[in-house]
Amino acid sequence: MKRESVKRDTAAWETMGVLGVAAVAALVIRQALPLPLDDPFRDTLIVLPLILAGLREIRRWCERLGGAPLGDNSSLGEIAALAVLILLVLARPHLALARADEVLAAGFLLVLAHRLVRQVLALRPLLGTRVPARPSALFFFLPLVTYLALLPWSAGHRQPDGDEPFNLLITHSLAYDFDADLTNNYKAGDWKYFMDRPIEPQAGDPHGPHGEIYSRHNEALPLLLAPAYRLAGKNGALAMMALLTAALAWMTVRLARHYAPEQPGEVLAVWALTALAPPLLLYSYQVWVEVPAALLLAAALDRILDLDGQRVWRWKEWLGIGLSLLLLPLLKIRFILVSGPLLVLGWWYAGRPRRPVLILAALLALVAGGMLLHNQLLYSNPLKIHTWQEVDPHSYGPVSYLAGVLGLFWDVAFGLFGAAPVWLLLLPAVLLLVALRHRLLVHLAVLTFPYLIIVAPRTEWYGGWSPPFRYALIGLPLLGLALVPLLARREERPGVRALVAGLAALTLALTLVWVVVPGWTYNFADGRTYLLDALAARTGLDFARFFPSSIRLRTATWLWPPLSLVAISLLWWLPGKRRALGSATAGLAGLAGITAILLLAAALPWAAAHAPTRVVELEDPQVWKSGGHLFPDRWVIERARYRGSWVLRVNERVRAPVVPGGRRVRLTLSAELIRNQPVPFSLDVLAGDRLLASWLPGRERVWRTIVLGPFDWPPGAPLVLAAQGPHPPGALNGVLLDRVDLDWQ
Amino acid sequence: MRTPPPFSLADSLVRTSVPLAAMAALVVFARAAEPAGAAEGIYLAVLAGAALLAVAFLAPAKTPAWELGLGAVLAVTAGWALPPGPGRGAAMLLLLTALLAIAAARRLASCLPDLPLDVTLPLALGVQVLLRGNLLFHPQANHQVNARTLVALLALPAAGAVAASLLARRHGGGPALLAAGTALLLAPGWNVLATLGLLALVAGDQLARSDLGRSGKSAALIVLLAPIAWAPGPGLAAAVAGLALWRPRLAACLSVPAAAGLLWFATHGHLSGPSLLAAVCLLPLLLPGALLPESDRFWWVLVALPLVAATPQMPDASALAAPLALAALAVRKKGPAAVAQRVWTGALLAGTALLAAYPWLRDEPLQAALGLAGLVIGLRAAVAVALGFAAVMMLGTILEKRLEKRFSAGSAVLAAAAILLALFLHLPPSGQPLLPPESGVMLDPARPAWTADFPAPRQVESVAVETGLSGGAALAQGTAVATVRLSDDGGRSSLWVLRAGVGTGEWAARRPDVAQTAILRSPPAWISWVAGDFFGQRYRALWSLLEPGRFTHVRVELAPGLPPGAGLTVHQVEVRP
Repeated sequence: MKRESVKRDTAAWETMGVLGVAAVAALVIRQALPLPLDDPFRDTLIVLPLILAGLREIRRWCERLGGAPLGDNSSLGEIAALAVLILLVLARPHLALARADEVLAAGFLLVLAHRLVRQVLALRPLLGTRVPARPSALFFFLPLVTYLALLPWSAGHRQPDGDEPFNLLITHSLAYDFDADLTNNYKAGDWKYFMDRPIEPQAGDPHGPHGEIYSRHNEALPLLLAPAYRLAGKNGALAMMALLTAALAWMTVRLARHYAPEQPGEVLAVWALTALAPPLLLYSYQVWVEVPAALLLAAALDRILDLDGQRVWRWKEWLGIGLSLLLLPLLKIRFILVSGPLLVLGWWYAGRPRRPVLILAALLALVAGGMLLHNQLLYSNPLKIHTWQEVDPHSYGPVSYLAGVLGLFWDVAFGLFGAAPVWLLLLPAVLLLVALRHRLLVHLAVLTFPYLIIVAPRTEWYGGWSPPFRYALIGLPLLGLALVPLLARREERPGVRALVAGLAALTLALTLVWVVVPGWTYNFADGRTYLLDALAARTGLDFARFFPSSIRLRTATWLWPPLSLVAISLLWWLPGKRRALGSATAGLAGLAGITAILLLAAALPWAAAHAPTRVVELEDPQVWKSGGHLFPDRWVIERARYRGSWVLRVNERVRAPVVPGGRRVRLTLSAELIRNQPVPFSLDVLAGDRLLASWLPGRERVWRTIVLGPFDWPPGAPLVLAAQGPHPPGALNGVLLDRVDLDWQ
Repeated sequence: MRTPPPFSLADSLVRTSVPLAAMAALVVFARAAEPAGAAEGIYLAVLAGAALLAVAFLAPAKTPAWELGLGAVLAVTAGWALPPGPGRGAAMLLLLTALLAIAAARRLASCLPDLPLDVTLPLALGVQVLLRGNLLFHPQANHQVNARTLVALLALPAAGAVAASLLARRHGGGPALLAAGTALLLAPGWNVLATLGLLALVAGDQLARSDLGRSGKSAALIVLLAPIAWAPGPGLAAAVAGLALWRPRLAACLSVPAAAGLLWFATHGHLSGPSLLAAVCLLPLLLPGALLPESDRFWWVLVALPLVAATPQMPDASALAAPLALAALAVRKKGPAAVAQRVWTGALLAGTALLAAYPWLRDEPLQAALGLAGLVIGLRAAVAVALGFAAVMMLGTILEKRLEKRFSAGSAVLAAAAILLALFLHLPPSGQPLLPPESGVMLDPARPAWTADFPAPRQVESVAVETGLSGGAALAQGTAVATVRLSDDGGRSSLWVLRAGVGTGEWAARRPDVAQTAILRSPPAWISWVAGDFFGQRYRALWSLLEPGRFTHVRVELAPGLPPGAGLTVHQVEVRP
């Protein structure tokens, strides 16, 4: 026993030594690296020794604790690939190739992904035959090293956005001024410490009695980040967020013992998916309250499920459950909708005791009441910038609920499945949970329904300038664990292998894109995405129409959910030969799945070029414009409240490609006149060069729906809208163009 | 007993479907995305499809072919996400080279020392696609893939694969691959001479078999002598090299007079010492392991050396394929020397493949690959490589004694580290590109100059200028086309003249009509791109300042007196400290 302890101490010292040497190497590289200070790879190369040392030590400890050894040849291959990539990074200025930075970043990411896959598989023995109550710390350190490896590139390529800069400014104020008064920080431009773009107080931010400016955002998260921020600035705060995210990944394994203790292999797979794939991977280096909230939820639930009728609570329960419950609303008041259900679950699993639940309920009420009172005093509004009507479930119709809930999962810009399609496996998983009457489903429902009832129907259900799945991220660990029963009961059928491989390959490709171009995960709420816009701009084709959007409701919004539910479930349970698949056969099935994904990709541009045009959204990038501008601006708050449109002024025109769906067409134009001059104005509607109709708008500043036609449509002709009229000096007349519906006959 | 085929029909169909699906996704997107310039997208799609097809049948049969599945997805991602141009081509070819290397490494690890045809065939085809991928560029004749192309892409690699497999039967897979790899470096790829050279070695090898019947021996003799009919000089060298595997002493006796004869005919009696030395140095440069051969194979090196020195490199270095491959067979089979030699040949092959492929399209990719490590074929480079090799061997031997189990990995690491160190040491100093990548500024009479100002005085020792002439095919060699001037605010300046045919050339030099009528002989291109139905080119020139100093402005100005219609596109200007 003593000898083992001595060995462990020696090993720990060796780890410290390796990390110390790596730190020295990082410092040496920092001094000697022949790259300019603003080079996008500079910070990555500086932290590289630490990342390599971290991965080495994880491997060593994994083997020491009984994990599988990693193959030396593969490790050497990774190092060789890394060396070649570093060489190319240094040679890059001389090659002068377009997008070389992004290509090399993807290369680094692939090497990291290769190592992660091998290391995750090697961790399997550490879970044994039953998921342990205290999983190895390696389930924390592996994600942490991954997040830290991504941090320099991501932080260098994306300025903090959404709530992030304000959280960081509060952190700065707490760290340096020891207060939450931001007046001096705005004045001194302290945003310069963590971003290049100036920020100003947000509309509705509270003011103190002497004109002090506060933020609408709570101080709980900034308080947590302040020490790290004080030590290492923005990078320190982001590293702290990575730490919290890694802790959440570890908690997911710990939580699994309550739901699937006998399926350690599946738990490992789910842990890897939750921790190392989007969306959590994308949040790991960002400052959002959702990650710590999810961590608190997981910690409280884990402790609750440990109660097992234990009516008398010890300090562990008070700390694990009570503190989490109380901290959640302090992070964001909406999380009180999670604290409440947690309290109910605690009461239930503790054998319905009165004392703890009464104390906690009182404390929770105190915290909530205190916050409401604080808000009332400071903002003159207990809900800060929100209204009671906003949180009243009766204020919304069923379509709002449906669009919001579906959007959280299927929306191409903000949904879980759009960020990482492998999560589509949740569809059969949920069906299975229903069939099994699994308690995980009950917990998921109890914990998230009250929250979703308030969050989902809101106009800003999508989060706002955030990566996908923001508001539902709090339930991600439970969603991950929902996959365990499905994976445990999987039949060794080719369909299952094909489905998993196809979705995983697609997820890998998208993850590469999201990490390499971090800005592309911050979509605007306009029914499109950066990715689809890029494709549309290159091809002149409308890709977005095939994908669901809960912002810009379209046929795909309602078709995708039932279709994917049926298709994925069928593929999973499709009857087939129930024989054990050899690795070669399983591999072939996987290849077949990847072939299917590639064929679907091939079909997409073809479909976009051949499917009849039914709607033309005139602000979209595939529509050519001679002039004008977008309205409203992309950065407008609550963008989903507005019709996205294009302002077309006199003598300007737009030209949209049209794929005919018949010989004749009836056009329905949605437009609004902007009259700046008392002169005539008309909008010509043309099929190519042929004038079809001229619209002479009468009333201004009113949205009009104009039905034109039917007309014969010449094949191949684009739809052209041209603004006509006199243009005396001064602001011109114009028209807001929303969309044109094409009804083919 | 018949060996079962490595892949079942279903397996083969599934494996084939992945590259085809990837190709379809790339082609459909190229047609949709770049209607005017779809040629590059389609070319890359065909290249990717062909290379992935080789990967499909090279990836191990018993384990999932992840390199194929994920590689196909990554290829499509690169094709869709990156803008058309050399950058996309470079990324795609880097990916395909890596995929082929991974598949080959995994498959060879499971089969060596055996080298069956089902391994060598996809490997040979894949390597040919990478090394001679320009054969797949057929935009002007979409459906006219002629017999010559098919022979080059299919028949020659197939014959080379057969040769490698047959050589492996006696010599083992490692040496056979080394021999084939060395032969492939020279042309590069499978051309007739390289293939015939390897076949001549196989013929000699077969003749050494005691169980070969009379008809077999006759056939082998015909194959041994066949290269002479194709190209008498290199053919003779190939025949003598092949003979060495059958009758080593006889071949050694014959090699000296054969070499003398070849030298006499090639030089007409006018021997050139430096060129002879350069040719001799090729052997230690490419095959340092042959300097310490297996004890029973010393004769082969003795045969190879005079042949390498004397064989005229007509039409290219592939004339030396047979003697160099013979020397490769003499390299020790085991130990640090074998491992280090394999790493060196593998690295050269990878570098050559990348530089031979789009968008680099180097005429002499082997020399260009050596140049990355600062090596120029000659005595100095040969000595440097031999010394480096000796150092790796010595350290490898020490490792062999200390770490008995891992000595081969240790030697491989040492060799790879030495190569990488050489590459790192020969990186040019970190410069500052002044234009966005793959953009260009057209200088013509309407806009005759381009100027860039540095925010602060900058130390400049050299300037790399990347340009291309348009309408310049009629210019005389050496015509001054532009001046590059560095200046500071104090009035000090330094001037350099960019000349046609020296530092720059016609961008459309490869277009058939331009190539036929051009007066200007454009220098080797720095980088190429698909310009419709031909490869456009740009050129790089390096100006090393006689008096380096701190400057604040750089100005590129079109030279006066150029004919109307002639212009210069400045693609990049990089100032280096």
